[in-house]
Amino acid sequence: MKKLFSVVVSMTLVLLVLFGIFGCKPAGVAPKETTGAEETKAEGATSEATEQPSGEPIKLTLWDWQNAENYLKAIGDILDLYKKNHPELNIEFEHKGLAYDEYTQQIKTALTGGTAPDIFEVYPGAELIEMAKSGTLVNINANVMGDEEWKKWLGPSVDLPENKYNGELYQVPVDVFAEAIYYYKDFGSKYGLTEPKTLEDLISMVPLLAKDNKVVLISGLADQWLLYEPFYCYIQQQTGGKNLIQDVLDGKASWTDPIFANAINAIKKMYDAGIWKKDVLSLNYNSDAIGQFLGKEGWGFWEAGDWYIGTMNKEDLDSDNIGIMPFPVINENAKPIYLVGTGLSYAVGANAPNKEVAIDVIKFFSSPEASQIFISNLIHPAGSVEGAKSDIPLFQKGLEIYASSDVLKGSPYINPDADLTKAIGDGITNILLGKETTDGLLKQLDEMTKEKIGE
Amino acid sequence: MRIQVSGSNAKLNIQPYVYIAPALIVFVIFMFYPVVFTIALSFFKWNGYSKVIFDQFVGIKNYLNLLLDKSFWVAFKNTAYFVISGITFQLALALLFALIVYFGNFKYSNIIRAIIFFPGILSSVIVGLVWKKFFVYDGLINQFLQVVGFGNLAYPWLSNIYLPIWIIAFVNIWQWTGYNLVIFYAALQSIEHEHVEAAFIDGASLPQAVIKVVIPQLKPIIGLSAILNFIGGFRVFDLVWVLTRGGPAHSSEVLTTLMFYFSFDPSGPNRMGYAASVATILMIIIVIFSIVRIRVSKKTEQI
Repeated sequence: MKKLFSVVVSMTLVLLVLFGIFGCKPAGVAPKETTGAEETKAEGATSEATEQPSGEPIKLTLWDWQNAENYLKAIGDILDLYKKNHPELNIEFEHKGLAYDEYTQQIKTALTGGTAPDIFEVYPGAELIEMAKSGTLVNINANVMGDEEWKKWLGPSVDLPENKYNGELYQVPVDVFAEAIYYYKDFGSKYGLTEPKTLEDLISMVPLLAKDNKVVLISGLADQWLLYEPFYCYIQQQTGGKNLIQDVLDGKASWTDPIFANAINAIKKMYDAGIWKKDVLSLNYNSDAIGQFLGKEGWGFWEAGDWYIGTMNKEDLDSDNIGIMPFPVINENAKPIYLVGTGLSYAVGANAPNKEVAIDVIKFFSSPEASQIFISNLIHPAGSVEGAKSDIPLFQKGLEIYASSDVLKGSPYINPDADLTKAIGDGITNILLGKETTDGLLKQLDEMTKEKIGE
Repeated sequence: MRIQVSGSNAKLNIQPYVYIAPALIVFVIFMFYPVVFTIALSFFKWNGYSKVIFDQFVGIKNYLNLLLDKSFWVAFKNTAYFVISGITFQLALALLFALIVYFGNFKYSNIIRAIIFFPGILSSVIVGLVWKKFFVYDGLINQFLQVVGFGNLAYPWLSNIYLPIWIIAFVNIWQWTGYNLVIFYAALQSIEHEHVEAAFIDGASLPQAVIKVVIPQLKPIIGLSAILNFIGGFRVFDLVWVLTRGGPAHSSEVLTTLMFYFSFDPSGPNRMGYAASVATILMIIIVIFSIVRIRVSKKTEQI
């Protein structure tokens, strides 16, 4: 038994030593952050790497969490077109569209194990910052900002802050959307409803629909982004699009500013008035809420975007029965605003052997040719959509809203800290359930922020 | 195969080691190494993305922060509720059903046992999904209340801060009572029947015979079941994930789901070291009770 024990211990030690040699860098060596200057060097190295014998193909792998049929088809078609446009490159693509819940686990494992794909999707905001800090991503700021054609293709999408770390781009948006309320027009005719402009208008719809056991808005608030993104929207309705949360994080403002309390109280008012279903806090957005909206259990869908258009009933799409509107304003001084965000985005892995080609591929995803393929698959491209038309009125309206300048645009992913995001999501949920007060939450956020600034 | 060690008379017989080597290698790579890795990781800060894992040593800071973290204590309390309710209600019900089936001499007792045992063979994901259909606001419970004229009692059962963990515990009891019933039923068949008969001859009632004669003989198996339930309870994940995903507002989080949130949840904080410290604490608790289980199990075998 003693000998057996010593054998186990010896084998473990051998494994640990092997792990120490191959698995780790010596302690104290900080991970390198990829800077613009280092990137130039990397590109130089890549040029050599791409000069391969004609018989040896360049293999590029792409991972994302877009596994819906229209995304798979569009991405496949775009990659085929890239190959066709570049006969000089002997290139092979491997695209993997994973389920959203699996994605983080798989990408983490791949990054740690050194088997990360060349091009992959990163959750914008806090996760992108973590990855950029770790030196996992290529800083593509110089590539995008120094390329007039690419910049023109991307238009306003180039400035979305959720894809940046320290003001530098680490990821390029591929599809974008204006988050809004989608609603059934035939509900309006049946119940004598008009598009609500203010929160009060929205609340006044509750009793009209309740008599038929319908609700005003369908949603799944178990997914807390459906709480903190409207929270951001209501802040920006009051600030005219100014990013007040960033000011707080920079120590220039405080969470005790009444603008934050107004935003939280507006959500509480909606909940208390019965705007949503009673069990909305335990419903999931993707699995429960969309089914209820398609089943017409409510007038509108809280926080919809182009991503669900392919799922909508064909009759409703063909008959232009679905309307789009921004979140109603929370007070007389507020201005309507559409939250603008990214769906699919692509970053290039720092260890990709063919960085130059990988960057060129993600540039191609912003091109007018790629945008046309996205539009024909009912995906709103981040790239050029000038003059683009869709036969589906709802989708066309989404394109026009995104392109228009008469509405304020604010990004939902303006909070770059996961702890604060959790505190906001949990805090608002607890306020809705009467377990927390608005003042209590804002004080907690103030303390957390001070600690973070102190760090 | 023997190897003569030069300069000594000792002979090392390596044959047994060769035989166990494959299993041992698998054990070390897939069990021992991950455990050592996780414990080591709990003393470091790592976001799960950097290839450099053991770079930022933080000592016991992860453990200290955990002790001050409200969400850890909520998860710990919920796990404790889940485990304790599992042990008490589940075992009590299983014992009661086993005694009823055993002493009841029903004609179709096999069928009754099979029906009660059936949920135990289902996947917890399926069980969770089915019960979710009961507890959602438009679900079967509220619809039933509506039908029997108590529509005003319809309630969003899973949207409450306090109820979900008890609903999860209830579903767990429903699923595993049958499994414990089968264990107790098997144990009942091996007790000394002469003692029970003697108790009846001496004028004991059925409850008296059960309490004074039967249960004392079942004590070791009850103890073993309690410890197995304890260990299983601490490892629960799937049922919680399917029914509530730890919500609302992380109020029904248990230790395993909290670990997932800290490490892999896309909206989580990517604190792998911190999650590893939760895993280490969980492992210590389970190891302690596994040792107890082994000892109890040995005692049971002796009996």
